[in-house]
Amino acid sequence: MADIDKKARDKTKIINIFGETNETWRRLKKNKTAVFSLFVLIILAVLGIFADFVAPYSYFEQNLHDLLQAPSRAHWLGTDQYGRDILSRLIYGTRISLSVGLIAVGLALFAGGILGSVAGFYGKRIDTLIMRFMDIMLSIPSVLLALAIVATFGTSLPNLMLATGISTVPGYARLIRASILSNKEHEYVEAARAVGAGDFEIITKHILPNCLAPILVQATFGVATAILTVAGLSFVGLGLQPPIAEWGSMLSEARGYIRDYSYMLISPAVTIALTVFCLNTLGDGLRDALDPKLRD
Amino acid sequence: MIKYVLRRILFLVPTLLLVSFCVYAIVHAAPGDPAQLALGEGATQAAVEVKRIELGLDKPFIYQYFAWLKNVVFHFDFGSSYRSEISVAYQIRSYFPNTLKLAGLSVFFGALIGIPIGILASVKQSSWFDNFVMSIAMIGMSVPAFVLALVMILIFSVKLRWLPSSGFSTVSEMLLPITALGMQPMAICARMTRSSMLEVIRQDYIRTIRAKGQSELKVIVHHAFKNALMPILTTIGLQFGALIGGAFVTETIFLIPGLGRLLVTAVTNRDYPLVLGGVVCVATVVAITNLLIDVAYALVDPRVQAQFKNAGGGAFSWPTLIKRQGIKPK
Amino acid sequence: MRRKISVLMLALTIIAGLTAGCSSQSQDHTEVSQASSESGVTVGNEVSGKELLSVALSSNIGGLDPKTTVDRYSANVYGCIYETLLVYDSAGNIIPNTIVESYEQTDDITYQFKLKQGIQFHNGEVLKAGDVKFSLERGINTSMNYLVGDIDHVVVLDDYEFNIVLKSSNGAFPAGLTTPQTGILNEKAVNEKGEAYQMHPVGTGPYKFRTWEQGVSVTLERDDNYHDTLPYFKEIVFYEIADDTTRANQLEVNKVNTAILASTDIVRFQDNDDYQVVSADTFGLIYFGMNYNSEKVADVKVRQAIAYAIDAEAITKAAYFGYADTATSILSPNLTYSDADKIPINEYNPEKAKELLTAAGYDDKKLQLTLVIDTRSDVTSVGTMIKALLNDVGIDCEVVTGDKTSMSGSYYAAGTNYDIFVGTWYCATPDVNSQIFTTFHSSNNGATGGYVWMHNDEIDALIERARKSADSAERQKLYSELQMFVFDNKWWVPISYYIDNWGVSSDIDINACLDAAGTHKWWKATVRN
Repeated sequence: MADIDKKARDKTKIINIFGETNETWRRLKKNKTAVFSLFVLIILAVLGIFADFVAPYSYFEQNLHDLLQAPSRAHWLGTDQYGRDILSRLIYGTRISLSVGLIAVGLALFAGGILGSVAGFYGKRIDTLIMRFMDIMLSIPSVLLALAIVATFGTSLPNLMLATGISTVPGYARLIRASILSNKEHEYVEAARAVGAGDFEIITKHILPNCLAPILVQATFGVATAILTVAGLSFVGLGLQPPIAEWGSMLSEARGYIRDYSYMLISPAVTIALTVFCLNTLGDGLRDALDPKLRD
Repeated sequence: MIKYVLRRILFLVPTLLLVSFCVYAIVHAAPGDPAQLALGEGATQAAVEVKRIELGLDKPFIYQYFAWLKNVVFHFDFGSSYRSEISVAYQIRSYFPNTLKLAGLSVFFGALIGIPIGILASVKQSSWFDNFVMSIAMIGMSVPAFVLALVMILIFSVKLRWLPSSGFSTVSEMLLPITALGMQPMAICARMTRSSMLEVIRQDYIRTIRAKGQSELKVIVHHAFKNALMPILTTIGLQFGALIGGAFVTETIFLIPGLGRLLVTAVTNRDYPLVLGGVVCVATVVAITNLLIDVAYALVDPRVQAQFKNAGGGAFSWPTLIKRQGIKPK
Repeated sequence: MRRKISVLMLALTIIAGLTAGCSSQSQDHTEVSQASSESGVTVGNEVSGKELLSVALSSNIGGLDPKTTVDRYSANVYGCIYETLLVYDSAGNIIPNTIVESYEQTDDITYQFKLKQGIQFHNGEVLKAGDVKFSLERGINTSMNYLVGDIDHVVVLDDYEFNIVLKSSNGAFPAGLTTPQTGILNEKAVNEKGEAYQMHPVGTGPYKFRTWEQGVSVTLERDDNYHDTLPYFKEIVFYEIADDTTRANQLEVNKVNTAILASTDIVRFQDNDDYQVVSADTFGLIYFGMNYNSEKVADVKVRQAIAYAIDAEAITKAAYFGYADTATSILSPNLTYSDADKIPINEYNPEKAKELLTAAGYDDKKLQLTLVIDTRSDVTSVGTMIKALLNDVGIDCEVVTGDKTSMSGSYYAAGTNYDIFVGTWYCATPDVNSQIFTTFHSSNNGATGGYVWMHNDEIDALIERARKSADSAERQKLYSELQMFVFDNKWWVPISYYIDNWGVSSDIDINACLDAAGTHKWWKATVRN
């Protein structure tokens, strides 16, 4: 008997989620800019994944005699100071930039999620402890933290992801904590408890899914911010080992050439701006689409 | 309320302790010998050894931290830079006002433009105006600040010669840096305002006030906006805090002697006293800013005030309160 | 409600007040920087454009006390404030400077000096032998140690005569006394001011200190009571602008009238009649080095193979656009004892490289090396190019990078976890010993300069002999031997010799100032007519 109930319950939940997703998608479609952004992002992701096939040249092949060429037939976006094709580097750069953004956010979300859930669910002392610790993290300038991390652990890709993501952990912690707090008292939680669900199950299966909306929205913004952060870190000299192609590093390398070879700066700048813009617009669109109060 | 404020100020002490300790640990862990860096390249190993002892670097790490702490607490002495031996307090005193001005004015500029945009967009939600205006705001946020700064300098300083390209004392010198740095706060303010206003506009009491016959302008500005204000103020506070220690790039490009630059240089040189002094300064500003925002929060919203009175101020922080207001969708 | 709003307003006003109140502190700085902001008329100051020299340096000004700050950028500034005992004449000989009447080396370890009488410091005190003793002895075991570390003691014979006695003979010692870092300070001023001395430095030089706006600039003004020829410029402002693009922009908008330029910024000033680009020799170079401790490059054939893969000329051209010379010897051609004109450029021969590698056993198996570079832009450029070149001959490089400090601390300090690296070196004094000793003597292996980690007793002995000897012929022989040794064994493959390029307003003439040591004699600047 209980089994059938559980199956029925699960099925209903799936249908609900599916229905909600459908509904969300329908509402999202109304926002033309958001849909456009999603489209662009998908294209970028595809380009990145299939970079080996799409890019006309490799991203590290130097041509010391073809340096600093303006955009031409052979090199659509020109070459950089080592003679590498900029378009190819941008395409390959998609991989790194998007993955750094996604993983940095993912890690921060995971860490912040745990901290926020525990703080929100158990409240009182643990809550105070965790939130004060988050306050302390917020007091340390993020550039400093990133500098120190990279200085200590090196400039590898994982370290860059860590350095970019770590200062955003308090933000996610707070967000999830707030969501948990407002959902904690709802009836279905009591119902779940009555059936004997443990804390972990309640948090993960019941409460968190309802927080999905703000998390999703914040995450899209987070990826955008991460991309910009990496660009800023490259400026400070915390870039990746050459010859790895990454938009932020390309931007900071182009800084010295801005006068006579401005195309070196424009290409990655426009690419970053476009990606960040699309991510932000998509985030805004998602928030509007997921907001129950805005149902017409 | 007073009790709450006092508790928060008291809490500043352990916060600063923890922040300084964490930062000290982190920077200490980074490779690089402060003694050798203080002496510069080309120093002999022998001299480096002597310097290490002079700076107390041969003592255990905890001992060094407490030695610093002792000086700060009992003598108000933040020590001297390892590199230049110039007093840390003197350097921070020289750099701090500029940072305060830069961060404050940039955020102010951002809010000045962002809030009206957000209000307008929320009122005309989903219209072309909404999309257009928010898109512009987004673009401001999508370009890294330093790119914007570089391009603006190129156009307005170098090519057109309208504005100076560096410095921060006169109004014309301040225009470019504040604009470059203010773009992101502006966009975030606009989005936050819009989102917050949307939440409030749909409340029943707004409909009631409208029904009472108040002019639309008054409804929006006087009633709706006031209630939407808190999350916006919080965001501004956050932005301000972030800029205090994080405007390194802009400061470098515009030659503004600010804390961001000082901290980065100090960390690069493993100049522990300077790093600690700078971080304590930043952390204090951030904490005070948060406190002021929280107090403002309580002053404006009686519901919040009640919560303060109930809970005694322990576990509350502003973001909980934003979320309780239900600004983000549930 | 009104009450609450007003409290809110009060809070905001307090914040605004704090902000505004702090701005009054920067008022004094405002005047100074305003005075030098336009190269035309100024406010609150009678220095007109033609009397102001504003120099943009490429690094932070660390301090104005040589005991703590010996970097050559800061030395540019305090070199105008303090004066040294000795100086080079145009033929390259070491002669007494303006404050010294006579100087003689009386034996292996003793140098006898007689000061001119009546020379005043900027605070009115008279320069005495005691000040020299104070200035030099305080530098022992500090950053200045590489210059004065060999001093045993200074004997003050009377007010104006003194002897410097060394622990052991050191042929490189007199050259050290020509560097601004050994400028003479006033004992009374230093002791009086204590910690605050750097805000009130006092010397006998042609310029006296006026203000230091932290993080921005140092302003000096001409000492009209200077005991020798008065310099032309009434005021010099040194700006610290580490960012290349910003510095070039400052020159372009005439906020400064002299600036050191990065290679990418030179073109726009060369074609512009309002400016001139002045090239200056330096003692610096960028090089590719190998780690003595590394097993992978222990075989000289492997090192030769690696060297054959490196095209120093192409790299120099690509990285510096022709504003650097391809390097040959490990010593800059501007240094005495350098064999830069005798030693050939490293031969670029990828075929030979492959042959040697195969002979050494790297046929199917690829040689894998760890290459250490840092994030300075030209080091990154050169490192990236080298990685590609090595790749062309079948060598796989794992590149590790980070800021110089971290790289020094993580790799050079330990000496065990890397095989090859790209480094730069500026010889700190006009005497090659300061470069050779720090980079190749085993006592300095580590982050201070011995990145090669050489442990060779013969080489150590050679370096020590050359250092002690006062006989230039003998020193030349020893240093030539060393240069050939490095060339044959490929521990360093020099890539480019640095040339400093100064963008200068066309009405200013700084040719007389430029010094290959990098500490320029700004008091010699004048205007053209």
